[in-house]
Amino acid sequence: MIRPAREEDAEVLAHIYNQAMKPGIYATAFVTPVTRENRLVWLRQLCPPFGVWVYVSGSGEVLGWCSLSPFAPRANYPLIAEVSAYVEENHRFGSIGGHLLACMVIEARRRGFRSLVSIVFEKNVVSIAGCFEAGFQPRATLYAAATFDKVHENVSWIQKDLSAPDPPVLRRLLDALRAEEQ
Amino acid sequence: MNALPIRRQSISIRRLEPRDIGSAAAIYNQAIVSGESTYGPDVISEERLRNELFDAPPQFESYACDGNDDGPVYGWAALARHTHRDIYDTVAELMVFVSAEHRRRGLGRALAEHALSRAPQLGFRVLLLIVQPEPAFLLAWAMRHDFRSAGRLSGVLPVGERWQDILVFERFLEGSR
Repeated sequence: MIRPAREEDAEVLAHIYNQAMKPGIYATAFVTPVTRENRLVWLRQLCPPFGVWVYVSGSGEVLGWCSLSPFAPRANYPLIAEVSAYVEENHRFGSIGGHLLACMVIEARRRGFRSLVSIVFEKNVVSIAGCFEAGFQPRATLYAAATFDKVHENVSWIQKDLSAPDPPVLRRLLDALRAEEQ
Repeated sequence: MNALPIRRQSISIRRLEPRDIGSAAAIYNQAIVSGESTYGPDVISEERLRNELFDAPPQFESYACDGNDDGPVYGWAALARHTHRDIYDTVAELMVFVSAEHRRRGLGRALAEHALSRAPQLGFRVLLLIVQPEPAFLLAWAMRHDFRSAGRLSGVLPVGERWQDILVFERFLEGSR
């Protein structure tokens, strides 16, 4: 089940985010671990139309989260959102990431966004492949722009036009999520 | 701060200072309202611009061009933070704005070239330029100064009735610290 994040989720949000900072993961542009308090402030700042959602297992455990946030390089662009999704490290490579991505597409359309952007390390091929399956397209590559663990890394900007038809993989995920909501 | 102020014919360039923030914001907002900037559709407050330019690590410098008369600045440039994310400490976004009244005198070029000359000394490895597809002379300037096209985002910036693309250019700096 996916539901909006609550303040009591702050600790697990921080835990999962910090897992993504480990060497070799290439999933976040921050290298300083975050705290529960940091995530609380962040949750309170992400007002609609932006937001945060969590993936909860059948036993009630939060196994991942996703967010729609302002596009960091131009935070006051009105109808574009930057997507982020993180999955608890023991549950990666399953279907949770896809469900979180589908959740962001559904919520973004409900909230009137025109497009979604992901800013992602080029080395994060799993994330990029998942986004491409959901209809994101490569838009820009900043070569060696980021410095991560003293190594210069390429950063890709990929974008999904929310008015364009969805690819079959995403359509199936959207249908499943909508059925769950009902 | 070495080598400042510099003079280039009648053009004087110095560090932008907090006392300039009012005229710098006015120039920026002129460009925002006329749809020339990529900042976004809403004007920027003096407080926000002050935070962006002065509440940053010291390598992120900004420069002013004025009439050398304690009056408002004619234009300004900045080596600004690309985002606040940890991994971009050695990346700066080049920003240049000149008031409508003082254009076509070479001020923008002088400001940009001054910022370009400072960037390696400040330890930057990479400069970014984020612009609209027009005017063409700006793109030509970027290419002449060794910026390469990194790509574009489609239809993200509202300008009048249109949703404009933004183009991203990237330049690697030689001789950075």
